[in-house]
Amino acid sequence: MTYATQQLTQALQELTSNAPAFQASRIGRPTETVDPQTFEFSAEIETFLESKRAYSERTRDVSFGSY
Amino acid sequence: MDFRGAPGTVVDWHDTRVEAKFSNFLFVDQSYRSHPVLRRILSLARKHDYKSLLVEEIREGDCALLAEENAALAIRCPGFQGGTAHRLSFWRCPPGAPADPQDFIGYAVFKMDQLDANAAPEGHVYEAVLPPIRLTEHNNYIHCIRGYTVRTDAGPQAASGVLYAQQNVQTFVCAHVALRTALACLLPDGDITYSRMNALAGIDHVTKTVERGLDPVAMEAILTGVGIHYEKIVHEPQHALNLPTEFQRDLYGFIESGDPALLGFALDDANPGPQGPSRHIVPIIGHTFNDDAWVPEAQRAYFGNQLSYFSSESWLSSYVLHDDNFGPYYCLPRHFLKKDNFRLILGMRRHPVMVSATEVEAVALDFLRAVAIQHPKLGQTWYDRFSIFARSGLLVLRSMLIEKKSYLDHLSAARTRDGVAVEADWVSELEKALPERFWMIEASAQELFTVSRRKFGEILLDCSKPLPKPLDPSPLLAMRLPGMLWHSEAGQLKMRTSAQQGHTPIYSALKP
Repeated sequence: MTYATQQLTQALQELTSNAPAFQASRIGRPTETVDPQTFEFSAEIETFLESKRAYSERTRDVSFGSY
Repeated sequence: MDFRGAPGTVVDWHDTRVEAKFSNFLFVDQSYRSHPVLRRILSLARKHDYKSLLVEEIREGDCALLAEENAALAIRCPGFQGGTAHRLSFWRCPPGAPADPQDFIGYAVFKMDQLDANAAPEGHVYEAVLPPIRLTEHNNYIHCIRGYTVRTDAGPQAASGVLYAQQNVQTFVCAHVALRTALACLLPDGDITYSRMNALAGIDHVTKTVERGLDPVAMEAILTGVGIHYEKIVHEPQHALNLPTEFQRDLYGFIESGDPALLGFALDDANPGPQGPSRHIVPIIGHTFNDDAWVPEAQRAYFGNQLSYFSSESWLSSYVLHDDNFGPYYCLPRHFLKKDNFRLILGMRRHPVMVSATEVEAVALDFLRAVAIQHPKLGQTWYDRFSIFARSGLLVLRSMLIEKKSYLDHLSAARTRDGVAVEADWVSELEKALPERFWMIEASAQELFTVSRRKFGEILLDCSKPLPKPLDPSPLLAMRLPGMLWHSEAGQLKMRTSAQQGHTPIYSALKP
């Protein structure tokens, strides 16, 4: 079993043993406004997107070979 | 007048049943110079249980397209003597018997060109439309199928499939026929002529020919000329252009949204010319799916894949393609074509899209993880399971471009196992707020996705604008998770609870 799978198994087991009570009170609660600033994007994703953008830009006008 | 609409003169109507001792091999050997692609097409007709084969001759005077093709060849090849065409149609009824609509399987046009008085004629399958053998119930997903009307001696017939075509080397090459297949899926007329493509690419067969093939600039000129949007993915290591990602992820991003893509690659050439190894390009029109695939788990556990989610592409087992050299509806195993050989993807889009599938999937992952971190537990089993999978980096994500109407139909029909629908007023809100099309990224977990074909929910992201830099939540349109609904309104994010607290079916554009 991999580390990630072990973590998942443990978390799912905890969820089962703590058998969450159905929180009927949550249903029908008014709509909440969420501050967009609370979303933090990972640096890893920003780096990935930047590398995609940069490569796309570099290859936009190239034309090599024929088919 | 094209080959589908032209009147034909009946040459023969063969009984092709095995008990009538009809041999596909013998027929192709005797009548069509042992042409291998025609043999492949007849074998597909056999798989469709064909019982007869109608052969009609199409004459130049009855078919403007045939005249146009012959005229182009006469310019390109000074010794050209003429070209003839046969339309072969495949039937599930015996020769001449009254045909029910479902008896018509499809057709192929075989063209013979006498390029020189002293040479043997050159044959090729000018076009063919047959339905694929395997469909959704066989885990084959081909989104580009279209319907055509074919004139026959027995009256007009309906054929459906993805148009296949083969190059003639002289006036159109592999890039033309790959483009023709892809454009046939997208253009309102369901087809395009080679003369139009050549005009758009500036090829007149005198000052500019297709002797060396078409270069990407010419292919892009054709796409732009017919108003088709596309994305280009390039990998040219000899020119220091190394694609930083895995090309199969990009390819899947087009196919899963129901759009075709062209896949270009370099051949393994022992003696390449000064231009480098020869290249070939094929249209990708669908994919197969294997819910027991070992790869997704193994890739992460054993082979160092650092992705913190599973892309649904991991369960793709083969791409479905036409190869003009071999015939229609072949399967390309996902890992067969290596990045060393890969050179080009031209992924078609029905509408302009400013963000790619791989980009939105990464953004969706971050959104989903952020929600799971902010709301680790709601005390609802399926939300809490979602949260655990998201925080463990084990979500399955599936991205596709979707039209608003298709999404709202999907949303309205979605039920949990207990039969609970999402709140109708939320559907109405989305109907007012959503743009005409957008990215939908479905979030699921392994067995939930692969076997049950269900999901925790989905996140909708804008496709009309490039992603903001640095990234912020503005691309988010809406998000549905068990017991929780989000949408964007005047730059603010709104969250509400929902009585729909279980998993619901994944989206399917194709019904089994």
